[in-house]
Amino acid sequence: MNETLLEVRELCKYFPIRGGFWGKGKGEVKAVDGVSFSIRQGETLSLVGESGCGKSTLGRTAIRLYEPTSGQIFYRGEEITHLSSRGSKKLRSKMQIIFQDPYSSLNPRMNVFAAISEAMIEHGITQKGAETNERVDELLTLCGLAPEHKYRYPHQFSGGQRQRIGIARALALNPEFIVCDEPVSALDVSIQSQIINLMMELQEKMGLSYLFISHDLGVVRHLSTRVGVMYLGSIVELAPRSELYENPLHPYTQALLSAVPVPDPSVKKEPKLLRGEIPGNVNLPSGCKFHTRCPYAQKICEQEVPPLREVKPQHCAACHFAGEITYDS
Amino acid sequence: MFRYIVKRLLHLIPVLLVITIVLFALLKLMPGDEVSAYLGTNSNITQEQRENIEEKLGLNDNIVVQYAKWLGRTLTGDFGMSFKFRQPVTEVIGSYIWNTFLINIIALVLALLIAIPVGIRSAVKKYGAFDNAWTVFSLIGFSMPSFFFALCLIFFVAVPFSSFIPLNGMHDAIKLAIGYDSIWDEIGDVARHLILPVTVMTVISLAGFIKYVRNSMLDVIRQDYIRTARAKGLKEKVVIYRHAFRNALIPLVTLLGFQIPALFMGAIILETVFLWPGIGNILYTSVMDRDIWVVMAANTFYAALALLGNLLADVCYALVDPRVKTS
Repeated sequence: MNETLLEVRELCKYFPIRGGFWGKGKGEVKAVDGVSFSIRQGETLSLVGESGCGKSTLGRTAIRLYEPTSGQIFYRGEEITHLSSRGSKKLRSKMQIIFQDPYSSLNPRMNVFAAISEAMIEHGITQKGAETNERVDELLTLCGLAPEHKYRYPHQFSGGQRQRIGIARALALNPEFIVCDEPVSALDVSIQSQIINLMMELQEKMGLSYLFISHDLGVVRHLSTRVGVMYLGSIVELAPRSELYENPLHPYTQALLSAVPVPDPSVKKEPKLLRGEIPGNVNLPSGCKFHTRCPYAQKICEQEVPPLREVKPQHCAACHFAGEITYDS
Repeated sequence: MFRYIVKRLLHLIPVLLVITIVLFALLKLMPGDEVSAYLGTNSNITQEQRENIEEKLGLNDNIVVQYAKWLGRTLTGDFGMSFKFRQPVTEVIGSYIWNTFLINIIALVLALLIAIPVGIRSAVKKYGAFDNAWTVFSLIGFSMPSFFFALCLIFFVAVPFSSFIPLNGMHDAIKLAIGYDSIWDEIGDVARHLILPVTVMTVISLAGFIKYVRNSMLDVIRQDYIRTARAKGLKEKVVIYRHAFRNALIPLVTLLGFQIPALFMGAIILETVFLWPGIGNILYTSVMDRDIWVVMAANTFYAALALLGNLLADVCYALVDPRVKTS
């Protein structure tokens, strides 16, 4: 594929825990812990993983909505890790985000027109008046909404319509790259497919690149170019979509895939259930973070952190025994 | 909207009516007799004179008839005669009520002017030194009874600086007697008398206001749409004031509706401590003197104020929140 759009190297985001009598920190939540990946123009990289594994934090840190604790972020080869607020404002129009909850992510006191046009005027993309008006109508039509509804307030729309507003809002600045932070998980299944098809259409029309965050493996399989699997703040496996689904190398990925229900009641399937609970991300397990739950764990897994290595061409996994463990779907 | 306000106003009438019935009954239940209250200290009278006065005051009627008579008079704008001042109640209250409004409005405006920026800053920099300092201040302001704070101020401020800050009252007695040089002289004099009571009222209501603004802002700041606003690349100022504060205003408006009557009631004690010639002071002395028509009128005023405050809150609520339908 073509040019690398966004590259992230060894990115960490730790949140301090407040507490104690004097409000001193009691430690840190290691939400994102040394993640590296890159996204090429026009592709969709999906991140999957359990709740609390740091998917959303990673997405938000990558576009500088959160200040990274350490690591580097490059956008079109230019480092943006520590850009000032003025510098990041320019960046903001290139990188946008669609949030998970279409009910709470729209300001209840702003009508659709104000919500969409605000950023355009702030960034000087259009001038107040007819030009802005036209552009808002265009965006609404593009996202499948009726332009005459633009003076309505968010509470007058349904969930799917609200998410369309969220998408129109993100597109208002002509972005190249959009982080989709579980954009459909709050919606009905029938609405989910509409929104996903809309997003894929827009990608084709406008040449967008997506970082798609989800825990729905079916959706991810439908729209991704490549898929990354996260566990406790790290990427444990990263591969092209069909390679990952057909030939998962990491035991965690294998467990996730085997837990996907098959829409056929006659198929008898024995999911590879994982033992135990996901450990908290304050005191991470030593060595391989997954060793506490891994059915194949050996001594080495407790002691050494397995690097994310290219086991097969383009297929990376962070497991000492990747390639040795077989998976039958 | 207009229809909504009219409808709500009509709903207030029966409520107010019930309140006046309760007030009337309570006043009639008060110990002591009205004839001696009417005569004041000069109560050496014959049985015949006493019966005359009872007849004149309408005390021989059934209590229901007495209430009906009061209501009838009141509806025509006649609140009766004050026993103590020997003038119509409307005149008594009319001449004092503006003094109360003066003190309350100044205190309310000051409290809001301070509380809004302080509350916003406290919320934005939660648990910072600024926030912690104001939290301590709020706690003290909340816990301290207003009369105690007033007495402290009198003792520690007014006594040592009595040449500039007067102890109590609204006018300088000597100046009032010999007349003011100019209108500015009078305004300056009243302003100096306002310093202490306004300080107490502002500090007391400030404590609650700051907490409300802060909590309301904290509630809004962690909403998803604030993150959306940041993702739009807006300036932090725009995010805080245009997106967050406007939404934080909604609960504040409701608070204001309750706070306005509360301020007036709090003023009853303060006006007594500072001998401020306001309606609260009048109410207090009238209760003590059993000047029942003044008490009745003042209490009805307070009740109406509370009801209108609620209505005001609801109307403002509908104005600031597009989700509230008034139909």
